[in-house]
Amino acid sequence: MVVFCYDGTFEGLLSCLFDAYTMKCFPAGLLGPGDVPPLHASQVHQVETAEEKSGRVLAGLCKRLSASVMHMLLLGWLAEEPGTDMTMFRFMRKVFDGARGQEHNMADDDVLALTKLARQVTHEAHLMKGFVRFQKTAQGVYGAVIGPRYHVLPLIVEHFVERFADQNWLIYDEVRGQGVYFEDGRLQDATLDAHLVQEGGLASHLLAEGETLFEKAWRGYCTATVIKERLNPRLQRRCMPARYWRYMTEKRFPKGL
Amino acid sequence: MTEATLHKLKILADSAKYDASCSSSGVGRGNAGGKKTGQKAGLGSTAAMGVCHSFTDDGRCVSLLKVLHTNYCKYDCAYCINRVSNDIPRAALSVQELVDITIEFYRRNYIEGLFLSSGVVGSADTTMERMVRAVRELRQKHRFNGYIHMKSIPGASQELVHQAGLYADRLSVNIEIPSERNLKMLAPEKDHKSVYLPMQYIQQGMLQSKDERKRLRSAPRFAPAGQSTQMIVGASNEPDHAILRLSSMLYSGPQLKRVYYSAFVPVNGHDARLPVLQGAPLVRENRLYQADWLMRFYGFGAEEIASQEHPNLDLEIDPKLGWALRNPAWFPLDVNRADYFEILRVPGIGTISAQRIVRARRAARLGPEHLQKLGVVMRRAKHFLAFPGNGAALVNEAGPEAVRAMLTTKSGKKPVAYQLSLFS
Repeated sequence: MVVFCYDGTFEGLLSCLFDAYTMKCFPAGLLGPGDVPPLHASQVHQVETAEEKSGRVLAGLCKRLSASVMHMLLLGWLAEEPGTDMTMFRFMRKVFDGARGQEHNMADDDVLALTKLARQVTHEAHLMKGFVRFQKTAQGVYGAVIGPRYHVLPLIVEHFVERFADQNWLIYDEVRGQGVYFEDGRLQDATLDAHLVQEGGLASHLLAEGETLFEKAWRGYCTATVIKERLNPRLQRRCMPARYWRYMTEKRFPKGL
Repeated sequence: MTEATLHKLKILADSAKYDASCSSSGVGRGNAGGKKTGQKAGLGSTAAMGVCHSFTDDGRCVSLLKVLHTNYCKYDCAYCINRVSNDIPRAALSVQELVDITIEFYRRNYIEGLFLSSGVVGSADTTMERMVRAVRELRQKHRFNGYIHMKSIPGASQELVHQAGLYADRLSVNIEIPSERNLKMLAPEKDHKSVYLPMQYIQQGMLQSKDERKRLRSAPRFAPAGQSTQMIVGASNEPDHAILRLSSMLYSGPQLKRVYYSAFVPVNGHDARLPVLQGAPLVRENRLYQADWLMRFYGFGAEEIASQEHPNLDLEIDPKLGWALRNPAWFPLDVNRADYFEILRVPGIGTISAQRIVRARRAARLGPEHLQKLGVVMRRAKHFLAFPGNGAALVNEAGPEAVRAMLTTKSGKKPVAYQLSLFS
């Protein structure tokens, strides 16, 4: 059994595909950095990521696939789920080897798995557009902490750039330790030090004066709109999974409130 | 924001919550300004598919800041919490307060925009004018591009409705009670004319703006997300088929985007004109929404879902299953050959799985094992599909009653396991 070892990047995955076709040898598994090869691996091939390799594979994919399917590949990659790399590898092989239109063959396991995963990622990105909660800091920057299951930050940035074009804001993904900072029309990568994040929000000493009153108003509003006769917490959790509550003003109650 | 404003906001949100509409969809608008126009950027944008920002404990979405301008009202409608004879805390927000709250909430991404309604104070026009003023200030002074849903007060003049349509994305007038006779009984000051007239104004405005924009790209848009309405279900004795026929007429006639159904919650204590209910008719409301979806996305006609012979929807089974059981001759269906709208009529297959089926069958012949993976609910669908080796009882062979019995008995409940006693 042959396994390929690559650097865990998307370009690396494309290079794996390139190597497989040049060597005419297709791996049974892919190993990211730090993964331990399985005991029964007879051969471990180290893939070197190179732009001429990945570029050619990408060009080949672009030639065969529509923009929406290419976007689906991106979404699948952003899911960062273990095992997705191998699904994508097999998917891309089918695109190169199979008849045209294989990417729409939902009866195929890999196509279906990737389509479903892409759908989940899109769905979470859509949820995040609503669930991000900004808090105004004393400097006038609106900061938000998020903790999505998938790496959806790149998918939602554009939405916020357009929506809040006239304010400075920051969205920080607590799980991945990555964030973006938007200032005066320019976007840049940013991180937050651990002591500035507190229980799914910004640390209280950073907040602008009167910020807690707005939060209180929002909590009050969310409580006031409940119709007691219709209480349905299960529906609420289905629409707004509890794993996001830690970051949402109306559901988080940090100490000292 | 002060504590006093906060208190008022709570009162007015509490008064506005029985309006079911919450959607922020139907219009995609970028932020005016930026590089293209050379203007300074304004605030906000709208997403065509709408965004839900939160969900309350009753599972309803919060997309817009839904408040009344004031909950003082001169009318005395039996079903309404804000009627003049009710002893509830009353409040009114000033235009400035309303604008401030909206902007501040929007900047924190709490909301997608504003849903503004109001109790009627003075004349319908006075009330409407005050609402228009708030919305205009948001749009013009603060260059707010977020979503605005505005209620048109029944009886408001065409001029004011027209102004509202220029600033709001969606306008709505609530029918509340589906038949005029019952509306007269429950809300003596209202009639259907006062509802349908503004509805007509809105439609005229939309058609006119559409026509103008064909000739001049920069002509102003009028209520680009269309109009909607709401009916209270269970406060009066109309059967479902009357409600659905009315909805279907509203979709085809004044071209409403949505009709909302709101299960009647008795908020006002005993009233001889209103029925006494065990609880809000939530299941019925749900079935009506399902029927509504069938009309809008599945190509069903109102008469197919409920008619004189079957005036009310079956609460136990969904309306599509109900239709399928009444039409066994339609089945079994072969998903590999049937067209999209035929596939949509199979219980257990929704729009997404139907689309997937149509796409997947180009590449391979589909069997039951594929359908399961594509998201079809086979528990229901298997009785209506033809494929080799389908062991399930087909609706055309076993008969609708047998299939119905199989689908309504709860098989999922396992007997409760318990420790056996040694000495019994």
